[in-house]
Amino acid sequence: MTASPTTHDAVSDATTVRPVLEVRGLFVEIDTGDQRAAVLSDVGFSIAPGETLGLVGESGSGKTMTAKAIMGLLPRLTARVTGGEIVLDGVDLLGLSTKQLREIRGDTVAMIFQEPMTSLNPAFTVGDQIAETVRRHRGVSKKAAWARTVEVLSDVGIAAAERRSRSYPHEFSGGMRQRVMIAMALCCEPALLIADEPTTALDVTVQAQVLDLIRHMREALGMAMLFVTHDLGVIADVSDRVVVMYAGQVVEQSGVLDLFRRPAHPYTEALLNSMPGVEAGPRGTLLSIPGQPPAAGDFPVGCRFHQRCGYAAEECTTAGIPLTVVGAQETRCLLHTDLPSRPPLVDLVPEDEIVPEVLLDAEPREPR
Amino acid sequence: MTVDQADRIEREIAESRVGVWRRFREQPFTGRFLRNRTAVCALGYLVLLVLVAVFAPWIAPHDPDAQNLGDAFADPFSAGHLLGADNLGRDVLSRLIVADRVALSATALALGVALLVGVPPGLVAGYFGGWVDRVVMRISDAVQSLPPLIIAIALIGALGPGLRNSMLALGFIFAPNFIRIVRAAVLEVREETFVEASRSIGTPTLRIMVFRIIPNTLPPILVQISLVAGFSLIAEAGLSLLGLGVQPPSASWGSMLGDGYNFLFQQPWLVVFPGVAIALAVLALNIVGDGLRDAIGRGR
Amino acid sequence: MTPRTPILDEDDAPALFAAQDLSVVFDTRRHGKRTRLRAVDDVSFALRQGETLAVVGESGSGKSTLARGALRLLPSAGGHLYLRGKEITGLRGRALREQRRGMQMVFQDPYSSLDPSSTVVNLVGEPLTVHDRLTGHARRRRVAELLDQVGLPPSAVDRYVHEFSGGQRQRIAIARAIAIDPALVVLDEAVSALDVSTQNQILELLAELQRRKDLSYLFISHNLAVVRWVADRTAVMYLGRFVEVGPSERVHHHPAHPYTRALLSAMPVPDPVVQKQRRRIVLAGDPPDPLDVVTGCPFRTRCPDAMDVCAVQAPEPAPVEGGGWAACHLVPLTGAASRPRTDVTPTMEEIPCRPASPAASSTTRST
Repeated sequence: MTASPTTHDAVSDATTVRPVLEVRGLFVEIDTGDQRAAVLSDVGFSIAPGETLGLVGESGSGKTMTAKAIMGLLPRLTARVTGGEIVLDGVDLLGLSTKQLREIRGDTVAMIFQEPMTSLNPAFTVGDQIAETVRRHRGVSKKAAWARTVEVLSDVGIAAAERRSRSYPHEFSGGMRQRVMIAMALCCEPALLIADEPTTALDVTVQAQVLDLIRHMREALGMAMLFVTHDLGVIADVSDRVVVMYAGQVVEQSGVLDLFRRPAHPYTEALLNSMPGVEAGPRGTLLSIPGQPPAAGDFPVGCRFHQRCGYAAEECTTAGIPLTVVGAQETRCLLHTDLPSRPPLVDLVPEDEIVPEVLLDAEPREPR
Repeated sequence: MTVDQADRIEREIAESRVGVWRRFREQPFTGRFLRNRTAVCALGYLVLLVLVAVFAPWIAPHDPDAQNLGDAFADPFSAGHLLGADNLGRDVLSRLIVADRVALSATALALGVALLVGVPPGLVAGYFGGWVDRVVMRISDAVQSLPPLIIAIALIGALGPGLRNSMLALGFIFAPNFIRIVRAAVLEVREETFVEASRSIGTPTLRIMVFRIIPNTLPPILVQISLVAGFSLIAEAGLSLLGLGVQPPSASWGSMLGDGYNFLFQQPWLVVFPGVAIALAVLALNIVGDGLRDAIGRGR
Repeated sequence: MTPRTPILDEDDAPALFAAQDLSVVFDTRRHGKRTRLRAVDDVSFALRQGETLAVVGESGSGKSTLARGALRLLPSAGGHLYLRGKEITGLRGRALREQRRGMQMVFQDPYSSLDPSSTVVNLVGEPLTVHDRLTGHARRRRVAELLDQVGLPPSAVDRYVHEFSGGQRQRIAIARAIAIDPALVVLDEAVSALDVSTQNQILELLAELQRRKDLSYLFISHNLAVVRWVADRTAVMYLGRFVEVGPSERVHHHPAHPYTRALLSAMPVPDPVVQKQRRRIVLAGDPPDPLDVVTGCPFRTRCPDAMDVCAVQAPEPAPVEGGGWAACHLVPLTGAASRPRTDVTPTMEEIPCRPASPAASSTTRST
């Protein structure tokens, strides 16, 4: 751990329960061929049982790297964890052997990916693949494993599960395949589900179904979830708490309502402003973040966002900025609290979708 | 646009002009190849072989065919003979140098024929598809289904024996390989969005072929060239070793190896040097081929 | 049988580009049988000078095929295309290439649409060479000017595209598309592959170029939220047909077709309160296979409001209050399927919003 006053203890104190997952001071380097570049520096957060933590960032921010590091799925030859702890249910995953990791994967923690085809074996029926996972982790009989398979497939909304379990992955449509992947991830009732952009490749109408399904399954199983995405709309839809990543660092950590109403980091604010449709009357001006996100190995000194930040001052350019607690939020910014609060975005939905009475009742609850 | 702006742009593009070398380093394919040190060294060795072949008569310290029985079986590093002398007292180094010329020109001949016969049909078949493709591929299949030896014997029967005709036959045997590889590469590149983008601009077909498709099919063709070159080199050495290639007194690495074999007990070095020359040249070709293959990747 | 769709909403200005009853058909094989897939089915639209028409739909709706059919990059199976009043439907070879000067395209993926083995000057300069016979220094200069216009340093002329980020590459693609001053630019998901922060930069650039050069855009997208800002009019496409067309604001606030409403409803809004409290329509099932021919209304298999008549008769386009039309049997009955705006819609002040209090620092930690 570095000297930065990170405050995961403060956060987990508030919940008083032992978190399902705790990531502390995680550092990861990759080998780019020419040099070793740090892609994650001092990444830390925790997830309480039953909680959904949204992990949001643009491409190259390190969000997928973080998810992969937790699952022990970093590319062996090019990436290396150089520091930190990943504690799952009291066990530091970084200290485990490959074999021990394999036992945990799919059992205590499971993952779903953006492209379901890459994680399903095209040569076996989906039923065989799910039953195999059940047998490996539960050590039950073939018959019991098959029964569980059919049960979990019908849980995720696959009609005629008994028959469909004998189908091969290519016989399913994109949305159905994602359901099969979710079934496979949930067959052993994991304590933590890691979802890495599970809906990005799907059409919006199918995305809505899959998000509903994920939310429903999470409630039914009471599991915790780490939901990785670049889409703030999806974040608003599924998460209780949100971690924002930029250039390999956590720059903000907030409850979901706080994040959208009063972002604590200028990057979060800029990201919210650049959501499609946000700053817009018709032909109004769009707010965009100037410049390009820095590439790994090329992160600027000081605050990594300062070159693109509208609030940047002299002091932001010299030394690294620590993550500081502001109320119930954490921010890696010297500005702390001076960002303006934001109104609800009622304008973004068709008018007859808004139920005025309900909206007025919506007292912003403390998400924790 | 104001005059100031125009000036600034003029200045900036003048300053931004880059040399050929930097272009090579930045171009995705050549750039990746150049970062592979082993492959670059191997390529350097091949360039050296070419230079030696071109300037052979001027470089060779002795007349390669001049016999001097007094020096017969001279050891390497003996007076006047850096790599020794053979059973007739001919300078081994000089003979290796002229033999390099024979090896490379034989290889070039086989390659040239294979490329000439293989590349254009492959391009046409891949780009236009349809019945053109079917005709070209059936002919190529027919040629490939004949045993290579039969083709070689038939061609040599028609043209007469000799190294040149053997290599010509070899070129014909390799041509279908090139047709397939070029066609496959074109089929792949043809489907790229950037080809569609060029069409959407209104670029004529021939121009798309020359500026968009051919440059992007070069890498796999280069890999194949390095493989075929290695094979031709060995084939030439083999034929000469058996006495079917160059005729005495001309030197070839293969014939030197064959001659030296007869005097293995008098002077073992006589087989070592031509053997090493063959091995090094083929090794270099294979390393370059591997380097080229590794350098292929989507330019992202 | 098939509804003939009206060409323009308010038909007075002459169209810069028009498609009338355009169809694009693919021959495919399915279970070993030859099948004809009508990817674009009798679609008509017209674009005025300086106007942006957005076409929105899910994958398989035929929106990209429509873009390629309109630009004659794919052969059309029926219908007529007009550019500046001249019919371009039957043109071939050189005559067609000449017309391409007036219509250019920007593709979705800036990684695959730019030749990796080529330098920027050869990419952006390609239309200049082909149409203006510009070469050498003159071409280089013009390319540098174009790069300057799209916000790239002129010194980029000799670089290769792999050295640029996604947003910068899309700028290169845009510079290439505007190089020969076309009147129409088709933007096929031109910002979809980009991160949100870069997406807006590109949208701003496109808007600025449109203002300066009076360009018309055909903007293909799957994202209704992006389209709302960009487009004057929005067309919603489902299974190869337009189901609703209208001014973007109207389509967004008062969607008339059930599919448009479902599409808007499915898009998560970046606001937890609004997102959790809104009345949402979640469609069942996947978008149907375009090869399955559906009788009557193509949307009826997923439509929450489907009636008996929908299976029998394809709905005709009916005018919608607020502009445009929708092809739904409900629209003529209700005027618009969408409820009118209520007066009790909350203003921003009415919605409780916790004030940002600087004093709330470490004291509130022990909640």
